Amino acid sequence: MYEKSVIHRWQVVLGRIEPATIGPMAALLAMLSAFSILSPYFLTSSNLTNVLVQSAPLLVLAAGQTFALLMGGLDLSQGSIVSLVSVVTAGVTMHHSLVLGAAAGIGVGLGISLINGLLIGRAGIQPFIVTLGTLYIAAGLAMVYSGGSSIFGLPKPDVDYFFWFGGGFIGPFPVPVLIATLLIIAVYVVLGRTRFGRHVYAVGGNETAAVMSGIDVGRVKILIYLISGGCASIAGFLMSGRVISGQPLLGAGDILLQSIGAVIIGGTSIFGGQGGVLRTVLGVFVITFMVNGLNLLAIDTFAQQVIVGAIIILSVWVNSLRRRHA
Amino acid sequence: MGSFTSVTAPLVDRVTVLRDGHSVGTYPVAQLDRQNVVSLITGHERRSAERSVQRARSIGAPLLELRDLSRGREFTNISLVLRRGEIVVLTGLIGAGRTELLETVFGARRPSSGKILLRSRAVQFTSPRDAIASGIALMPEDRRGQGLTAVMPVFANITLASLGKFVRRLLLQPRQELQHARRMITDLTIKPPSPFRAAGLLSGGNQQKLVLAKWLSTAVDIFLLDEPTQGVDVATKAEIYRLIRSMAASGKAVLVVSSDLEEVMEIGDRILAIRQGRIVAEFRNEALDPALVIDAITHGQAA
Repeated sequence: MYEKSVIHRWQVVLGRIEPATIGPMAALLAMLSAFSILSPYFLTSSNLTNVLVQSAPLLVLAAGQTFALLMGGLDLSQGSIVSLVSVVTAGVTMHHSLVLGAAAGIGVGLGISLINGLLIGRAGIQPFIVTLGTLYIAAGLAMVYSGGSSIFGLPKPDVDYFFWFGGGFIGPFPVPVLIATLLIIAVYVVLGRTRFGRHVYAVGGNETAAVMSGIDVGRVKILIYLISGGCASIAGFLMSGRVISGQPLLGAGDILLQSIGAVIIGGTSIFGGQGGVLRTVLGVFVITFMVNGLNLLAIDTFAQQVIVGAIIILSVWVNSLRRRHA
Repeated sequence: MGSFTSVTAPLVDRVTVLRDGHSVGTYPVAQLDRQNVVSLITGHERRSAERSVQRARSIGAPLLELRDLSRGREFTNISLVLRRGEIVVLTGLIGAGRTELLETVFGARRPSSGKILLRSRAVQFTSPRDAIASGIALMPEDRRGQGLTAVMPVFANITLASLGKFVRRLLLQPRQELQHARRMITDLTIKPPSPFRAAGLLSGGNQQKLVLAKWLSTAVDIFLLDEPTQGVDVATKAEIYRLIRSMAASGKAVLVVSSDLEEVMEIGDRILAIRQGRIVAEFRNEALDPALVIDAITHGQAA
């Protein structure tokens, strides 16, 4: 189950590699070498920086999604939360300030997450149903709030600060990448080194046994969906900052499916209880480097979708074969 | 005593008796009466001598007391007292309401009437969490389904109910956690002795020891064990009996549910026979004839 360093340092020193990560690792390496041979631009530092900046929101989303999948659930509302946070943040910033805008936007995002958490953790409804419902609700609210159009033309100097979060730099490091990195580290510590993190694995591994061991399973589920939606809110804020506007369809595209796909490709079990956030990082890079490489090779986006879909199926298949042989 | 044929088995022509997975014979009903059947089922019990050596424990104050506990049609007016240092066995046929009773005491089900007293104070649990916090542990009959998490490693199963002990400044301390897990593995001779192996890969008996280790890591002092050696090999069975006895010797109270007659005779200080949700007989396990127990769980009437 846990990622190697959670289990123990000496096993990392001995170079023991989690078998579930061999597949995505091999896919990533194969892709990197193929693209660097096929495209002269692939390995340039400007391209790599670009890929990292583009990966940042997905890293944040998928880090949150990891909790939902580890529990044996999933969070379909992440994309809609991105859209809702985007328009509320921009709308409130327009009339007040970025600080208030950010608070309102992320607050609304957490509100939707809390509804998810309470319906799943207290009312005991299936995560799939609940988050499918809030996917519609949050998407609808984003359209209602914005009247269906983009919110742009934010006042100075707020607009510059806003862009800093989505596309600024601290020294040579892009701000969104730094934020995503800090968040990944925090998630890694929470999952591997806290009581709550262990409870996430226990609930995902065997919910009845978790109840019978005295774990407050309802509370664990509420926290899981707060984290997943909170990550979606942060991602929504970063993505809006990059386009310095509120977009009611910002999270309506590929981003939700990429978030779930990245966790699965990374090797976290959809049945819950096995996996971790480092695997998710691997999954995110498989997706973003592939999209980038295929773009450089001028392969159109529709063909890219076919390839991403095939990789999702392949990675789950490989993992299930491994389990059968174990 | 009525004829076996007319009372118990009006539709039966021949009876095959199974004991420990082997057939001990097939007989036409005409040749059998209830005594024959009981002695075929029990085998010829020969253990009273072996058992006498274990009776040096001192029994202390009552820890758990049930008064007229009932729940729907599952069990009715169950009253019993469980004392510190004591092993009480509740025996009865499958479907007699035994598992339901344990789960009710553990807070996983709600009683419809009656009282649960803990150290002489009435308690009402709304969840297993409450029961555990009050010092009660349940080792469920369905260990894979309820007792352990098969995909988690052994160490994480052992510490699952006692993680608070390994937290310093909000963080789990892997070194202390593993040290504890290794000690439990050694103490309970869990095999193979690797803390990192997935719990689901262990044998039934070792999984059972794992569940015991989980509860022995906590501060609970009342153990409810539901069929603790079902599907466990003979050698491991003996080890589990030894563990149960040492738990009692260290002042814990143990309530075992079992339908394995040898087990009942082997570990019980007192034996309660339950039939159709009611306690129908109580025995002290001193020079007790197992046939009496079988008779009670199959034919006994509530007093």
